[in-house]
Amino acid sequence: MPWEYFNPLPHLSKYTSFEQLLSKKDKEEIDNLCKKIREMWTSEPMKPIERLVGSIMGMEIDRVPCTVFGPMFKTLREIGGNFIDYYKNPVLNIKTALLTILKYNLEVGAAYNPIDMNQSDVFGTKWEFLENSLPKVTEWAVKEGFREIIEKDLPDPRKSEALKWQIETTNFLNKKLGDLNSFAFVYAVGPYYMYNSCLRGPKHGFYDIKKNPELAVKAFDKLHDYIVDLLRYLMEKTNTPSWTLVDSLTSPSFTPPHWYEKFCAPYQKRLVEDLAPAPGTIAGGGQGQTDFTPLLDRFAEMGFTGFMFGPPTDLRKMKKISDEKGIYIMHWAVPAPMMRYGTPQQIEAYVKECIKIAAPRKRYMLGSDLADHDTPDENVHIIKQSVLKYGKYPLQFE
Amino acid sequence: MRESLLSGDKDEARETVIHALNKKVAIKEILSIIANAMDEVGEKFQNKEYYLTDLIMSGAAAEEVIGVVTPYIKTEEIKYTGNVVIGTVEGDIHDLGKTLVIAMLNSAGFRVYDLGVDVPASKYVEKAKEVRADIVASSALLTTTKDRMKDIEEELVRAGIRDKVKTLIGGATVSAEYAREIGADGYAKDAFEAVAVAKSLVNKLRSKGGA
Repeated sequence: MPWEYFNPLPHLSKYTSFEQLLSKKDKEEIDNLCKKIREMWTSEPMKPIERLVGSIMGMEIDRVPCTVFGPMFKTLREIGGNFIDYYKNPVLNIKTALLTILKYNLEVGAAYNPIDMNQSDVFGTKWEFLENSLPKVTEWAVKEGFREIIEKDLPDPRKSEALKWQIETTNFLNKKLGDLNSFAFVYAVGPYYMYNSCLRGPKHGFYDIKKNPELAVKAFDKLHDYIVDLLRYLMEKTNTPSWTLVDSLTSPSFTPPHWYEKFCAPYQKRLVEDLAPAPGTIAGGGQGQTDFTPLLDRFAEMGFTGFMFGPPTDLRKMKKISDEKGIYIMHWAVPAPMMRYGTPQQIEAYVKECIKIAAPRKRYMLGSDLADHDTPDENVHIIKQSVLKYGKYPLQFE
Repeated sequence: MRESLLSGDKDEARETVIHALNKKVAIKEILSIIANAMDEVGEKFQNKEYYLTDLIMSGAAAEEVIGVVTPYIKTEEIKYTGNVVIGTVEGDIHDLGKTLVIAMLNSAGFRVYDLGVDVPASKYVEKAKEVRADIVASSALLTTTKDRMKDIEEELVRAGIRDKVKTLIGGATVSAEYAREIGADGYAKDAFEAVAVAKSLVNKLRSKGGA
């Protein structure tokens, strides 16, 4: 039995490019937004892309790069959009991204990212779109267990409709603003993640691993090759210079160390090795407020050239490894509860401290956790304002 | 059964409970084994011997066992710690955390009514009235959906039963501070704390002569 393809975006099937989705009014609106963003991004001595790449390489830059993660959900609510449109309509998605960049003076752009659909639609995991929430899985592709992965030929990732629109929107934004910034990917990957989060579901997935660890390795070996194929294709199609490969399930509070060493670490290492010829940075990261401190040395050994973590992961340890091994830090510095409940003064003091700890010798970008829709605007703006105040090189602490 | 629950082996747990039922082991004793095993799981998690992965598997095994045992439970045989109506709020489809809380509450002797995920505030109230709930518990993992917890508070007030139930919230995006902000009676950071908080809320409710 072949994998049963599930197209989550059938209404877009007749279109082949993002431009085809745009009405005259959409084009004017997007052009106008891009013009304003262009003005914003050229108002400082360095363009965001120069600052980011310079920071990654440890070169001379004007200040610490900075961006806040997630205020697009604030924007979405403000413009009266809902999650169904956000995921089903790449035009609304891109407008929301651009409006958010403009409103919050962001420096890192994000293209349309249909979360995990672009890894699972070709396998047949089915999704339902909800008005007020992320898309919901209604049926997992893997019904029985690892044998399905081992015995069947895997599908072609190039046939993913969700992936097509991720590539299309990324390339559209890079065409419009790519000389000033890069619309980079944060990608949740790895066979352990893919099996448990995209194909089988965690409850059955973990149990399968426990019951048949050797079959798990066989299946993960096969999925690994599939993932490398998928990522190489994305890299080739989008020419993206910076990658962050995230696997929240590998958090040390989530996964037992012996599972991590058997089912996660070998594939993370192989992924870095297999993608090494690709240009730019490959950062290893983790989502959520989980502590990755015990794994930082392992990540460094594996050859990741960047860290992407937030508190409670130890910033001082990240900095120490960064200094020793030249690893770049994308720090999700300001936690969501602080943004929601803290005062601007508290956030300013916190940002100042992070810069003091990690920004000397460059190789540090300051960001934030996801900004809730009810995070006060002043608590979002203060992050950038504080970076402009304390993060200019030479730092006043140096 | 204890071993299979501790190791999260749901197939073995199911077999052992069926075997126990065939051998006419008392339901009370089976429930006590489940409760003790899940307490042990909680201790191991707090001592960092267990990981979230272990909790998910032990929770799934407990769920399996309770599913087998439930039809045999005679209400007069069991004195429940309290009635809990639980669900993931409207717009949110995460259920792992909720599943763990249900497994723990069941093991601790609560009678739990699971409303599932993406549950509107009105459904919590409807069920709370129907089963004379002691606690209405809600979970939210998305930052965009936690406001629905406030809707539940308001809906309980509108229905005139707010003083007859206690409310308990949990999930990655909420905190004790948020519970105070919306007027919820309790917050639990994980499934084990949920049991302790739920017991304390029931005691408070009973001591003031409520439900």
